[in-house]
Amino acid sequence: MDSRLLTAQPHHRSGHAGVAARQPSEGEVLSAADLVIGYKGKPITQPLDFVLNQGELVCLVGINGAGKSTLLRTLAGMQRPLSGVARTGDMVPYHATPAERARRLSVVLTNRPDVALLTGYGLVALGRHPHTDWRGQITASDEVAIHSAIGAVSAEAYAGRPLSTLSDGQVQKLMIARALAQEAPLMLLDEPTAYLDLPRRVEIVQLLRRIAHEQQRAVLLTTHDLDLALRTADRLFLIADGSLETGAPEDLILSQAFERAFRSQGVAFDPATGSFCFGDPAVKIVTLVGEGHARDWTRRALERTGYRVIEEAPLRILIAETSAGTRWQLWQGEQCQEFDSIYALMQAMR
Amino acid sequence: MSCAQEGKPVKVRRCRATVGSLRSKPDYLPRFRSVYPSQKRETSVLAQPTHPPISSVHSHLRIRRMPFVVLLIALAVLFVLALALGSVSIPLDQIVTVLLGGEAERASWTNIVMQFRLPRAITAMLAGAALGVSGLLMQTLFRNPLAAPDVLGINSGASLGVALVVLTTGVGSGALLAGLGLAGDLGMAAAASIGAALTVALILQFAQHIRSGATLLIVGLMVGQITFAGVSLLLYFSIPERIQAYINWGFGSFSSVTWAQLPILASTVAAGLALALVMIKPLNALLLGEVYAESVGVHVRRLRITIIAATALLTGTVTAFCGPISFIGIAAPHLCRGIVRSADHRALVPAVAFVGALLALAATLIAEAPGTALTLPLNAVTALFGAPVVLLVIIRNQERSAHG
Repeated sequence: MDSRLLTAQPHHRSGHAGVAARQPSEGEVLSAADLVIGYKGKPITQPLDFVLNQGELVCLVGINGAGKSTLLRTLAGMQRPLSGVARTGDMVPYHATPAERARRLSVVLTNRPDVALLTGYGLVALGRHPHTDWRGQITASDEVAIHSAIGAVSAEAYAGRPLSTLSDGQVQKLMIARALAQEAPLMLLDEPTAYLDLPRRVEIVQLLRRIAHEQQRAVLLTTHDLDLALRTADRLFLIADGSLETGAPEDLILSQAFERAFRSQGVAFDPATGSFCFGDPAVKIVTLVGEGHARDWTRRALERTGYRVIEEAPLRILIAETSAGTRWQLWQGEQCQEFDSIYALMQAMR
Repeated sequence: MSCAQEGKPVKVRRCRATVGSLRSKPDYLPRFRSVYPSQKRETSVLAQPTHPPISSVHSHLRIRRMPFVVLLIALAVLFVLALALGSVSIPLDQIVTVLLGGEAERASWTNIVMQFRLPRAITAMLAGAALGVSGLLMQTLFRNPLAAPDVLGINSGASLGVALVVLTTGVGSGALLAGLGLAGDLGMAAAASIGAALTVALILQFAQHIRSGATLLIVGLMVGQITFAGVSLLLYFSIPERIQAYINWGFGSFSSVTWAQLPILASTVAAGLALALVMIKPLNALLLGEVYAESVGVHVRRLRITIIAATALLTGTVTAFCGPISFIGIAAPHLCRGIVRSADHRALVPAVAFVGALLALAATLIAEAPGTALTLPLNAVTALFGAPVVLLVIIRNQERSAHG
């Protein structure tokens, strides 16, 4: 822990002077300087410095309780930073009025809104609030924005239906369209994929990536789905032990930041494959001979069961494609057993 | 900011031109001054193969005017019936004559219409509109379909205010409100409004922790009990005439408001409704919850205070003058949603005012039991028709959460 953590000042304006001197760079949408986040005066991070640029999808990852949501809420101005400052352009979200904030940043949360009789169009139209007059009158330019937001998430087919008849994924897409219609340069999403099934999760994150690139917005989302984050994010914010590591997913893998962050969490990160291994630490060793998907998935099953795959081990598995289908041969010296499924193989090896 | 528009500059221009040319068409209720173009040929310019035509946005966001026409006609019919029917039936043409300032065939008819039925009908409409709108405000604020002034115990709070004024100051002997004079009327309305405001503020403290509708009902019930305890104490030490007057007031009635008191009732109700109309836009944003409302630019704390103020004015004043009327506040918004089929407060606020007025008129009409000399207690009538609505809402919610 940094010693500054303990002396972090609860006065939120303390960071202002330092930041004002810094000139924002081209394409910068949000910057944080000496930002300490936390609840009730208790800091959960050291002072953080980072910038968010337009046109990039950033995934904020970290273990539970690391402060992902707190950071997001602080950036959104919903929560006061303990010290330091986050600003978008010349605006400090926490001190701005909600109306000023709404023009700079839009927010999407996990939970599904449940409003009787509200249609997709009605929902997306709510995103136009910062731009409409006091009566909320929808003008021609509002209609264009609503229309193109719905188009951007490909929700035309069901935007006319009441929300209660739509699936979780469809509602979440419309929530994103609502945030798009707000036309703010920064989009903050807190676990937008938490309740969705895998195909929908991939779809939503790909969609956000496309939005960030095509519409040149800065998109920051928190997620528990590390695999998806590693594959889709332009940049990762990895928050662990009170500090924030940023970089391309590959950078964080190579610098072993990932391994450090998730060590002792019951998962081990494998830098070779970029995937997480679950279960017991691998103590037993085995050699795997074979190719294609059969090899990949057998390897995964072995890792789950507690084996490490190496080049030369006394225990060998041979994957053979026979006319009757795939067969797994387990060789121990001269002894050989044959199995017709990975399940049977694992039963024998346990 | 401009990123979304930069990609499609042509579209923006075309659309502006199209909408501008249609703006002049008097195709919509002047109330909303809608700029939505109807499904005209010009809009199809915007229709591109990959997108639905812009007109599909309009048709979904547009407020249908048909329900308002129906409501207005129904209201007019009930208003005339409320003047015509009662212990004595008065012919329609005679009512028209009286309303136009003429003299009816019988002097007693003029007297009945002008002194009793007309103020009663106007009171009923004002009170109904006020209760309906405060019910809608509560349902949106608490995001709970069961929230309403009576369910939450808000008119109990108002009752306590009234009881404090009447039972302790000693003003007003026979009828609760009779002979208080202007200052007394105003004081009563103010006391009731303050009682109502305090109750809403109190419940709002609990609301953070309340997720289910049933819990909110229980909180409302308990708040009602607490205020009733206060009222009981006051009654216990009061004189029998005032106790009787308080009990009569508690049955609810639209008949006791005099022409002299009507301007007070009308102006406070108008102020409350005006507040609700000003809040239409943030109320819509509040549909998604306070976090989202704030994220699209709503000053949530300010909005909450305004909602409390409007509800307190509406419920408090009505309770002071007409007694704690039950069930109109909860039934009107639900019926109204069924009629306008929209969650948009631009449609709901005016429609709820209409439906509330309608329900109140219908209730007093039934309470008068036309053709007999009887007058039933108003709250008995509203409960008889309102309680099933509440049950229906609860059952429907249960089913929805069971399936969802």
